[in-house]
Amino acid sequence: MSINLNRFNRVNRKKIFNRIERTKKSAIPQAPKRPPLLHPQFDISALTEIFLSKLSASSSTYQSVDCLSLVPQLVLQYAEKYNTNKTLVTNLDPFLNSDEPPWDWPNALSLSTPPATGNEAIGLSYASTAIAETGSLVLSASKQNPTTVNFLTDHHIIILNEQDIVPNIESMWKRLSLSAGNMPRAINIITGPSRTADIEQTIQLGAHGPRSLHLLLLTQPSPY
Amino acid sequence: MKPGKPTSPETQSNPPIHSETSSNQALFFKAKSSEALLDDTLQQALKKAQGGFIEKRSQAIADVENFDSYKQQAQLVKNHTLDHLAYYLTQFEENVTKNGGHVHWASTPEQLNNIILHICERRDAKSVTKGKSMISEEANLNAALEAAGIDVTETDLGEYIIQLAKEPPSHIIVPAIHKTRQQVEALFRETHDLGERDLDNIAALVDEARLQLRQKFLDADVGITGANMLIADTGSAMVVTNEGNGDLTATLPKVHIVTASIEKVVPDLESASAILRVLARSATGQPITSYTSLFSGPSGIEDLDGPDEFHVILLDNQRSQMLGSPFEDMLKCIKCGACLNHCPVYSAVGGHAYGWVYPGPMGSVLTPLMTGLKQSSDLPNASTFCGRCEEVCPMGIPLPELLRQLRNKEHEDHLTSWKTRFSLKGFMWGIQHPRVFHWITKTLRMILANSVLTRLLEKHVLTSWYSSKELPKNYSKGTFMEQYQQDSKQKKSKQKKS
Amino acid sequence: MKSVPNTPQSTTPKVALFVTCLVNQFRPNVGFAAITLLEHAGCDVIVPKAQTCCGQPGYNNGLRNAAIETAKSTIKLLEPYDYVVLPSGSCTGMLSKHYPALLSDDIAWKRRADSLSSKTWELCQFLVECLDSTLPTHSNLEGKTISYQDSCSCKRELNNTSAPRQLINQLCNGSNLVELKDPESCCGFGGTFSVKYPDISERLVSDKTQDITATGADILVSADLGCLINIAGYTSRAEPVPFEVRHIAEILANNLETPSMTSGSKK
Repeated sequence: MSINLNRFNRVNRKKIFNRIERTKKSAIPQAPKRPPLLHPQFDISALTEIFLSKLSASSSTYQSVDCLSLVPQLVLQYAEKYNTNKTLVTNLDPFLNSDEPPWDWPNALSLSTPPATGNEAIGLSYASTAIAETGSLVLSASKQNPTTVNFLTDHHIIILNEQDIVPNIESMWKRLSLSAGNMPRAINIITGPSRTADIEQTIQLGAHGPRSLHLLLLTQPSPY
Repeated sequence: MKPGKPTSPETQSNPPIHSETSSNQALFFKAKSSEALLDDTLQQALKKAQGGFIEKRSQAIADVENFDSYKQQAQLVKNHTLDHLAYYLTQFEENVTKNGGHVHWASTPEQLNNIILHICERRDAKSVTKGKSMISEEANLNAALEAAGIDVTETDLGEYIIQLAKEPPSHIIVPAIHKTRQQVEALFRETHDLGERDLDNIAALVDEARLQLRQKFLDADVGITGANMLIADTGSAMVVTNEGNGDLTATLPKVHIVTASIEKVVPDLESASAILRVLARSATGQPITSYTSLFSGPSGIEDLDGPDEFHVILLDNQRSQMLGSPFEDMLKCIKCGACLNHCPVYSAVGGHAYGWVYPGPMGSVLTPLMTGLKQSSDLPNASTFCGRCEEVCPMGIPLPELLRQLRNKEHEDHLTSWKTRFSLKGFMWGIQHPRVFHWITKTLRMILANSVLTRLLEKHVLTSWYSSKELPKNYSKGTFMEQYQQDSKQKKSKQKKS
Repeated sequence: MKSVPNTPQSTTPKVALFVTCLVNQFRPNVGFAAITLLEHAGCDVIVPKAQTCCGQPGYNNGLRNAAIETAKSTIKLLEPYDYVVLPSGSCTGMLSKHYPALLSDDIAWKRRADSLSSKTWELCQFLVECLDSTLPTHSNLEGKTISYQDSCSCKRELNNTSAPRQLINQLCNGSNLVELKDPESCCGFGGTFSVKYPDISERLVSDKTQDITATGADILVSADLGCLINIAGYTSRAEPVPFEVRHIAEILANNLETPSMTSGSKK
């Protein structure tokens, strides 16, 4: 059957390309040169400020942290604030240097490793970069950062290093330095919690994904 | 197609799938629009929606320094891509393959359905979740899946609501815009077996949908999403949502299928950024949606979640015919819905009157091009040419001009009534002959000055005008030209006398 | 904005008035009001006898070839003058935007269409942006509230929204110009649209009328007779008629003897 599908694709592909090439628009065999594009510019010295104001506008919250070892306590505080059950899914430990002391998880939190199953209340992830222009956090799918953590939990906490904030969408792609064959399976540009306005155009948070999004902004590189 | 029977996409003997949603009902625009105007619930829903969208968009545009420059960049990208479409499609295909995914090609919507059925059957899929995909609406994919015995669930809240109601979408980004919360409540009570509960507020409705759909996401064998853009340079599909349903659809099942049309390809991520910048602002008035995701293949060895198969199906459906034609500009459409939200006609009658997948100004161009002008001859005429659609279109598509071109085609192909053709031809001949024209205008003025003759005109010729309006009264003793010539004569004779 | 053609400023500009077929048929006083305004502004006004209609009904309904013929004869008729002025946004748009597009395949005709386009003006825009002359004011509308409806062509094709407002404020002493809540939306005329889809048109004009009524305006004015015929045609049936409907040229030129357009025969 797969042979059939291959042949089918070949035949159809040819038909479609014949129709496209009939316009004589696509005859050039070598790579066309895309016209240069303008990017909106932002004040580099105020990136954090711009980023945080856009982030807040997207109904997200944030707090600054100067030391990664504080993360477990802050996660617990967040769970208490939302009065949710204290189940957490994360795989972040490999991000810490091997000679660091392990995170000291409070007993009140019940910890599990990904993938998320939909039963965990809180997810903890790490954003490799963030965009000041839109207040977005950018998460690449990886062993440390599996995508289910971003979407199956009720509350999503994301750690970001302040130095990783870039001015605009284009600089974010550049920072990720992506190329075909080496792509993360998924890249999620996340701007606020899940939302819908599908019933009477009334915005409601927590449609399918997280109901809240909280940023832990690491203001200094790990002191260890 | 019978459930369980293996299908090959090459089987051309399958009867074309037609049902309420995909078959073109645009022939009935006139009747349906009149019904819509009398539907109080619909009118209530439309009134609520329109103002909100317009305000949010204009705020989002005011918030940035130079939206026109954003538009220019986005248009540069699309123009360039359409000029080199074959190149970028080839590059996209190569790179998807490099990432471990598969690209399939469908000329027609039926072929798209057959490819999907083929993949589903190979993986023995029993249930499918779907993110919002207008391409699958073009193909009426849900009916094809159901006919094959596969359980299919729309996961975008709006799409889910209309799936329960067994209705087609009435807006391209807000499919259930025509439903009030009371209607949604009634629908949920009827279909969800959850006993006594409070559903009298929107939060409760959204929560109930979340609960119902969560299990569907987790159980699905195959996830099907659309794509807002395809990135040639990285072999990725970009999906933009606010709910996160697209991401759950793309992540939880073992197979992720992307359905997209060929003009969705862009050269690279920098190009995609230019379009992203105008997309959400034009659509919902957001700078960017909650989730903008890039899917680039099946999960790798290291990944702890994600599908093990990744397919992209590229649909043509008349688009390659639009390329290089007077309608090529329509291929720049990014499906933001701004033209719908700002259209006086759409706002008055809603989306269902348009009879097919795409309503409003963009739909009035696309429906005739994709399903035939004869079957949708009302649509190009259902515009006052107020020009607001073109003004708000981030891609600068000259929608009124495209509608005018379709009207030209209708006239050339004799799709208009003989009465219309006769009177228009007569009028246009008359204005080429000033003497005749002025004689007729004089006569008409005299007819209109006579109440008996006016009543005849009212009853037999201008019935539709008189259904709600009066004709203006000419208070002068003649047409302007008559009066002016009389005045000049008088002036001249006075000059002579003096 | 378009460039002003080089005409000797010392002589009086020869201005051809294209009254439009609707003014000719239904509201001749608009044409005379336009002449008054133009003469006050120091123009030598000529009304070419052979003028008929700009061709929009055919152009917008599929008769492209017939519209091309109309464009050519209208260009021939009007090109000898320094300026062409019309008391209508949509007909001005037809001459200045759509004629060049219609004739774009024929180099010689395209040039003539472009040349006509560069000297074609909507009346208000001409008085303000091209002539910048001082016109006589009047106090006949003192204490009256006036609302101006932007026609879609004035607004979107000609980018002409400030000139009419400026003129009302300058010339109608003691009047009060009020804005609609939704000035962007179409009144529902759309030429043949109003006849093809009368019930949609009715809905749109009913919304527009509500908006106008809510401003408390005594008089509604616009620069397009099409919109005015539509709005007046609908409001004429209201009891009582909520406001007067007039072309802007009438109130600017103090040409107020002709009754309001809403005073037509009532059902």
